[in-house]
Order: sequence, then structure tokens, then C-alpha cells
Amino acid sequence: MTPVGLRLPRREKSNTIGGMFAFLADTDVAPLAADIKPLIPMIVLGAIMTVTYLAIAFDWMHKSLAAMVGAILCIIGALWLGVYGQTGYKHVHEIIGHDIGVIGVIIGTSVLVEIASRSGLFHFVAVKIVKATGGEPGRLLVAMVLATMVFVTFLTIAPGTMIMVSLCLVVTRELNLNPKPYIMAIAISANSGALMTFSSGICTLMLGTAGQLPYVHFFLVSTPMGLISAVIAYFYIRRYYRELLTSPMDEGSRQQLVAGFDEWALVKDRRLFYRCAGILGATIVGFASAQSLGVGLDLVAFTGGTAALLVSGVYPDEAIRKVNWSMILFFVGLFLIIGSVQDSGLLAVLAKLMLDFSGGDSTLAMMLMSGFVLVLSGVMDNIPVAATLIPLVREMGAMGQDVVPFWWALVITANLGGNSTPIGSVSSVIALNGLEKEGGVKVGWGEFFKVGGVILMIQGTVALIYLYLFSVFHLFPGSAGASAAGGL
Amino acid sequence: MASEHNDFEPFELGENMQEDLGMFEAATHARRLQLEQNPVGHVMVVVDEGPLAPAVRELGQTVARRLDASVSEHAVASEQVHEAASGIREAAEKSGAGLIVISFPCGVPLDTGGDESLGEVADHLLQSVTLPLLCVRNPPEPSGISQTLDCLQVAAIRDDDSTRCAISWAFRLADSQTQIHLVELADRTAIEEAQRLLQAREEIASVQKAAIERAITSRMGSLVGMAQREASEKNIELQVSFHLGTPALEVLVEMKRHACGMMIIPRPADHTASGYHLVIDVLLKAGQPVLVI
Repeated sequence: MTPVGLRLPRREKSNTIGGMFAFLADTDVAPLAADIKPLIPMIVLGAIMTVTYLAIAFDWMHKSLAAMVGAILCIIGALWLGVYGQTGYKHVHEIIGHDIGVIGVIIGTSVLVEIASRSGLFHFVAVKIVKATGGEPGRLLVAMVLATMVFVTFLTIAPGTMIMVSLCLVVTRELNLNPKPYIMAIAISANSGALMTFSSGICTLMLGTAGQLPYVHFFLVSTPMGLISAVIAYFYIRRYYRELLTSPMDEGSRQQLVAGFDEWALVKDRRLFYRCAGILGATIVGFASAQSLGVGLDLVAFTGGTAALLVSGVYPDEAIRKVNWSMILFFVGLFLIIGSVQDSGLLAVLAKLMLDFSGGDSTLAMMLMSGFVLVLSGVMDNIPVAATLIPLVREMGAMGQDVVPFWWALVITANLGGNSTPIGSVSSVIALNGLEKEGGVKVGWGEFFKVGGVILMIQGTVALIYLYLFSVFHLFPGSAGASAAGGL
Repeated sequence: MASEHNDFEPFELGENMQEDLGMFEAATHARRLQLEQNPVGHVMVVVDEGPLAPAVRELGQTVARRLDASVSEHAVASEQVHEAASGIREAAEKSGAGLIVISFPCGVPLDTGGDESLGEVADHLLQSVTLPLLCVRNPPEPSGISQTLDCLQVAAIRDDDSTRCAISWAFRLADSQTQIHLVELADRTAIEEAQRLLQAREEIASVQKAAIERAITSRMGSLVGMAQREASEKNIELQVSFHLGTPALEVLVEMKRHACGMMIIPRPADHTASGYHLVIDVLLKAGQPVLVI
């Protein structure tokens, strides 16, 4: 990508598309900064990106299709306006290559998770956890939150939530309990689970890869926040739904019923589940040690996925089919849009504006960005939000800013931000869909906001204080402040 | 914003959730079943004058060794074919056999009846003898007999006692090196049940297979739980898979895929039932021995 502050070389007008429109690129913008690039490409590509995001946010068309259309328009626009410079079209491949690591991690972990879910390992553990509660509504709520956190940690949000929602719907039906408090607890605590490790959520993974955040640093920064936010969610849900957390069955019948659940009935392949547990564990160790081994996380994820395919006996096409190719295409489109917009210089202008607005106070800038992301992630999927802010933070880094705190702020706020609305996070969509279709219970926007919105306000406030303290006391591992203070 | 159908992650939301729901329903609905424990003390091998006689004899001895049972032979002469079935039944009763090993067609040349019939003796025995019948239809591979018990496949269509017996037989014949494949198949009842489920929820067509799988997984929970618990205790490898399609074809394809040496299939008491036709189809087309329970 073209370094910020360098003016793109002017081309001679020619018969090519790029040449025909090159005059547009010659209109410079002076007032914002002396060294920035021409204004027209910023406007054109910025407009394409904005319209694409609106299409994604308001469901004007399929997300992946919107991203691909946006990407094609951005590429054509960038070529016409000479944004890619002398590299020309080859630069498109450079943009994709720059973010290929994220795509590799997603594909590798998707295959591994698919095979691990297929073995019945997690379903087995889930039933064991429920049996341990004896069917007591309060303990069941604690179990649902804990199990959601664990499953999301190891399986990422969508598969982890799906297992927990299914378990909850079946178990509450058997125990004659109202499923709503449990489903809400799963939907909201899943986003806390996404903070637990580097690979617990797609958004976390994107940000961790972009910021090159070491795996073990997650245990120092985002895991504690994940646990704190889950505790907040649990107590609020328990209080809000206290009247629904009662059982019509007496304790004896409840315990007898739950003790009768047979966890072995859902095991498809016992040896596969032992092998998958081993591979999953080895992959996590691999993620943690990738940096010291000098390899990328994508290699670790691919190795885990391939090992699972090798030992499982599952027909590879079946597992590969389950990789969300639509999401992969979405990412490719998104990366191309953002890469092109970044090359136009627009993101550098925005990054500079942000830093100027905060008067050069990086803590204030981080807090402003955090607040913005907390709000925006509720009304828009956190993936495009994160994908857009990644190059913005990179630009800030290129300007000499210590961006480590910004990466952590993004990880925490982009994940928690989805709690405010029923469409803010993938876990809420899965949970509420399942509740409506299987349980016949609908949770409206109003009710969700009364629960999720209030929880987000509390979690958001705590998260902002948490980030502020980390920033002021230089606790972010790997940051310039921490190094100066003799920390990590 | 993560909307219902175009969200990033769960594009197959309905399908995946049906699978998960089926698994948990299986766990919560499961009754604690026990394997049939009656020991089999005697195996009767029926030999005719055909080319399959040595294979039948060797298979009978292999199976008897695994069951720790005695073996006896009952010969069927070509000219006695019409009386053979009643003779076999009487001999089995007299010897106290718990299993009959036999080739089909019996007492007539192998090509009698072609691909359409198992022969007169088979028809009589399948309808009148309640004992398990281990049937050999094709000459096995040279090394086939010794490996017959390395991989066993059980076809499960109903969650009834006959399927429980079939699973019990698989564990009787298995040792710690044996792989057991439990193949769950969709019969008309399962499909109708799934269709009811679909109509109730106005699901989209692509979720149909998942809904059928859910119905079957949920229904078979007791049997799967029983089998997995036993496999865990005895450290035997047991895999459970679901197949939707023509049942006979599915079990045969699956058998070939896992190179299973023997198929174990329950037979319904009512020989007009669809499950009975499945048994006949499998017996006609399977290359490996088939144990009909």
C-alpha cells in the first residue's frame, strides 16, 4: 500500500480507462493537510464504501453480494483514478495478500470446529453440565452462562451459541421452564465469551491479527474484561427475570428427570471426540506459541483443520462444505474496499482528524473511538466496523502513535457493542431466532433493549473505565507506555 | 446488523440447529436400555452341496469361536430342498442352536433365482424361524472370512426391540479391535414425523433433510446411548451415522465405504412390512455375510 504522505506520480493522459479519468485525480486537497493525496479519489471511493456499508447495514442486498459489488466498483474507480499508482491492477492482489492471514485462520478453524462439533464432544459436555445443576433454575442460569463462555471460547460465537441455544430449548422444555431468561443469557454472554482468547470470535481474530496482538496477552487484557462483562450480564438477567426463574416441578422430580438425561445418546463417535479434543488443545497451544515459533496463525489453524480431517475419517468435502464461503467472500470484498479507500488517503485524513480532535491525547482518542464503536456495533455488525477501523488504526500507527491500546479498545468494544439490540450480534440473532421458531416466544426490540441495552450501558461504562485505567497506568502489554514503565 | 438469513456465520442456521436439537432431544428422551445378555451356546451350520459350503463352514466356526459356542452341522441334500426348511428348523430346535449359519440359495445351484430371489428355503426360513440367521450369498474373498468380524455394520430403522437385539449381537461378535458402525436410516414413519415438524414450523425446503435427521436422531437416542455406553466400557470403536435415501442402497454403500465384513439387520415380525423388504433387498445385493435378527 502507498505510504501516507506520498503524492502519487502523475500519469500522462492516454487511451486507457485510467488515463481518461486521470484528470480527476489531479485535483488536490490542500486545507486538511499539506501532504495528502488528491480529493476526488477520496470522495469517489469514500462514497462507494459508504453506500456499500449502508447496503450492508440496512439489508438492501445480501451482505457478501454488497461487499463484492462494492469491491468491484472500488477497484474500477481506483484504476480509473490512478489510486493504485504504477503498480496498477497488481496492487489488488497485494491488498488481498495483506489480509490473507485472517482468511486462512477462519478457514482452518472452521474445518476444525465443524469436525469437533460433529463428534458430539461439546454436546456431551453440555449435558453433563446441565445434569450437575439438578435442574434448579438459578443454577441452570449460571450453567448456561458458563457453558456459553466455554463453548464460544473454543468454538467461536456461531457454533458455540447454536449448541447452547439448542440445549437450552430442549432442557427448558423438559423441565417446563420459561426459556427466555436462559436464551437472553446465552445471547449476551456469548459476546463476553468472544473476548476470552485470540480465536474466540471472528472479530477478535481479525483485530488480533491486524494488531499482531500476542495470544497470551489476551489473558492479561481481554479475558478479565470478558469475565467481568459476563458477571454483569448474569446478575442483571437474574434480577430482571427473577419472576421467571422458578420451576413448577418439585425438587425431587426435577432432579430425577435431569439425572435421566443420557449424555451418551448424542455421541456419534467417541474416539473422534477424544482425538478432536486433542487437536483442539494442540491448536490452542499452537496459537499461543505461533509468534515465538515465527509462524503465522493461519498455518496453525490450517494444520489443526487438516489434522482433524486426517484423523476424523469425515469425508473432506463434507467438512469443507461447512466453511462459510459466503463470509470469506464478504471479507475479500471488504478488504478490497478498505484497501482501495486506504490507498486513496481518506483513512489517513480521518485518522489525523481523530488525533487532532483529541488534541494529541491518545487516551482521549482511544476513549472516543471506544464510545463510537460501542454505539455503532449495536446497529451494525461489528465485522465491518472493525474492518474499517483496522486501517484507520494502522494509519495512526504510521503517524507514530502508539496503537496497542487502540487495538485492545477495539477488541473489547466491538464485541460488547453488539449487546444493545437484537440484531447487533450474531449470537442474539441465533438465540432469538431459535427461541421464536422452537419455543414460540418472541423477544421484541423493546424488551431486548431493556435487558441488552442496560447491560451494555453497564458493561460499556465498566469497559471504558477499564480501558482508561489500563491506558493511564500503562498496563497494555506491548505498548510503548508499558515498555517505558518497564512492563510487558 | 446481523439479519436472519444473510448473516455472516449461520448461513445454514436452520440445518445446524436441527442437528443440535435432535442430539439434545435424544439425550433428554432416552430411556436407559440394556443390551440383551443371553449367551449363545450353540451355532448350527447348514451346508449343502454347493460351492459356498466351505465358506459357510469356516464362517460358522469363526463366529462360534467368538461366541465361545459349540458348532454342529446340518446337511441339506439337493433332492430334499422342499423339506429342507422344516428340517433345518427342527434340527435347530433339537440342537438348541442360538444361531443358524446358511448360504442362500440353499440346496440349489447359486444362479437359481438370479438377482431376484433367495430361493425357496430362504423364503421359508425368514418367515418361520425366529432364530438369527447368518446368511452367505456370495463366495467371500480368500482372506475375507477371518476379517468378517473386524468391522460390523448395524442397520437401525426403528427404535424397537429388534434393533436392540441387532446391536446386542454386534457387541456379542465384537472384540476390542472391532469397529461397529450404527447406520440410522429414515423409514416412512420418520419422514412423516419430519414432515409434520416442517409443516408446524413452515421451514424452507433445504432444511428437510435436517428435520428428518432430527426426528431420527431424537428417536434413536435410547439405542445410541445404550450402544455408546457399552462401547465405552468395552473400549470398542462405535460410529453412528445418519442416512437419508433408499435404505437398502444406503446401507450397502456405507458398508462398502467402511469395508465392513458383516451387516447385522433386524427383521420385522410382519413379513409384509417395509422393513422386511429391506432385509430381502440387502440379502440379495450384499457381497458380505448378513446377520438377520
